[in-house]
Amino acid sequence: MTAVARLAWRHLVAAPRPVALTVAGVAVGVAVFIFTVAMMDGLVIFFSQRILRISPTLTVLPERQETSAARLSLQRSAEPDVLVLSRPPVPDQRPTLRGAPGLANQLAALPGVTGVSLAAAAAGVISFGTVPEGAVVLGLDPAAERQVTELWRLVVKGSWDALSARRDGVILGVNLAERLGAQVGDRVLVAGEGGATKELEVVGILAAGVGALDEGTAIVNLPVAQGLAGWGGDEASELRLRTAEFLGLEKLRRRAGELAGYRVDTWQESNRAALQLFRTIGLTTYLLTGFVLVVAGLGIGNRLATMILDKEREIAILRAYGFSRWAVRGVFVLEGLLMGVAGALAGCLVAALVIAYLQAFPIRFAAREGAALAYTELYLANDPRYYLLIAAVAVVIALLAAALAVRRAVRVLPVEVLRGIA
Amino acid sequence: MVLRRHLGEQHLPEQAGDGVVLQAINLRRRLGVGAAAREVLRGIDLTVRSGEFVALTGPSGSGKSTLLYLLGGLDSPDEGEVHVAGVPLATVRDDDLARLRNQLIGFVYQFHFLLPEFSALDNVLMPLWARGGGRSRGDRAWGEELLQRVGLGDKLDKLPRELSGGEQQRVAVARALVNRPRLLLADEPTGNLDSANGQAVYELFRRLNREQRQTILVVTHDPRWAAASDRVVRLLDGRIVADERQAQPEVGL
Repeated sequence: MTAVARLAWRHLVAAPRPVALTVAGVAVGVAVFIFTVAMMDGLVIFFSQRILRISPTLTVLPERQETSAARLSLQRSAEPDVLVLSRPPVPDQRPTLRGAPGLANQLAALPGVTGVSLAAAAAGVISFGTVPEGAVVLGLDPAAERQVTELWRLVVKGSWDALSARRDGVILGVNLAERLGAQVGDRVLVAGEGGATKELEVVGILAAGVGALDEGTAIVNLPVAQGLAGWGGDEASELRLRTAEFLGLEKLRRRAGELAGYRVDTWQESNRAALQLFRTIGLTTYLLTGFVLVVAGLGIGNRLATMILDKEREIAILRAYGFSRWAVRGVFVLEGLLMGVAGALAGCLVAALVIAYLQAFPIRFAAREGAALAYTELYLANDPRYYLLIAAVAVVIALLAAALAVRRAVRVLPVEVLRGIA
Repeated sequence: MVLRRHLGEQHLPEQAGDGVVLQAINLRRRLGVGAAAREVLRGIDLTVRSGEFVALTGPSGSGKSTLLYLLGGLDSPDEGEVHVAGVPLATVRDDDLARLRNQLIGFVYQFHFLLPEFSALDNVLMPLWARGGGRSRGDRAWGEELLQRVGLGDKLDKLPRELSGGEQQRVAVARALVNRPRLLLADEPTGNLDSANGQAVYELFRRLNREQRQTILVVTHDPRWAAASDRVVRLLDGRIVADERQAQPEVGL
């Protein structure tokens, strides 16, 4: 052990209580930070998983690529708060994907695509008795949709398969059904935009936990929706794709776009607002939690400043006997480093134990009945990178605090201290 | 890098050819600021040759300690020059000066300044640590020998708080000698000791000077120390007022 290391070590072991308190401060900061990151990432993962249950991973939209490129180009050059939209369709140009079934077959053949489903969504009015409610009438092929999303799992009353069995079936969002007062087995009247109407039987109630689905969506068979909207059988408002991978979809998105000639969005883009919200919440939380680490770093700086004040005589004598300023600086920086490393390791250990415990025995929250997206348990992500990164940040903060604190140590002039005591 | 030129491990200068270990030329030093500033040293010329035992005496405030700090490279003069073993200290950078102090000069202060967390032996070896040594068996044996010479061979592992004041000061003397310095500077080394411990430290200095020709400069206002040295330099109001060699120093206090 070098002289610098020996001096640093002896200083630390000579004052176990204040050193332990300082190390504990760093440990708490590190543990809290790791736990917060695990919690925030867990939240994002939790919701992403649930979003993926009800959303396609890629969606082909009725916006020609040329239009899309032009819109994107305009959007890039526009002010940040200006949203550039495509030109509204002229009366003879409906906002639909033409030749959708053929396109679906082509897309299904793409490597990495595991399921394709056509959807026809149009505005409509649903009436039960004397109660009319505005809704999105979403036409799907129930069998194909099973390959794309898990909406079929979210039917809490009746069944998804009943929609396949009954061409005139409808599955209502749970809140829409509530407002209408409709139950499974009731017959409702659905009117499309063009005035076409159709009587349908409620075959299921869907509770997804997502406002758009639960509040105002009625899922019908694809031909029914097409008919109500006045579209042809080869028209769809979107093509919904399931892919084997959830991340790194850029290449596949580009290929699908080239093949279809339409705009293709990934699930992250379709849910950008929610994911952006999580990112913002996460960033704010990290900043706040980061202050805990900074305070812990200040603790190290404070401890070293006190120690340096106490050891002025020793510093003077070390300097008088030939220790360079760098060596003196090294002693106290090393002390800061050791406290930082010890705190970081202890913090990692505490965080790992707490996370392991809460993963084994998760805290559960009461959820709204049937809400698939509800945050029903404290879901914690656990990644070694959290520990490495946060421990490294803690050590860097400790070093910075030490570097600031030791400025006083190297300013000690031996003669002034020795003369003061003599 | 003056020191590297002068003080590379392999090229430590012997004293100047005329046996001069220490030379002060027209040293002036002001202390304090503003109205409180006063000139503590007013043109000191002093030469110490190898093997001399010099007592620097004078009343309080005469500038003895200030002169010692200048001679030891712990302080810089406002005017004048200090040469240690031929090295002009004014030309040496701060950290190189620390190395020079380490390799050429041993200090003993009125207060022992031992590191409280370390044993007597570790304290003695501390100046060796500063140059990256102190860990070899040979270094430890040398530290133990020094402690034996000062009568503390049985207290190698004692912490400073477990030693008496006299023992602590003897550890400080052993520490000052561990680098085999050309020059031993002492600032009232028995000032805090009772007469018996003071006697022990004095005898140690005398023996070092007699047996090993150790060059020693002691600041003291104890006339008995002065009487026992080869040469007595008296300071008054920042000037040397007497510089006397004693043909037959007293052998005991």
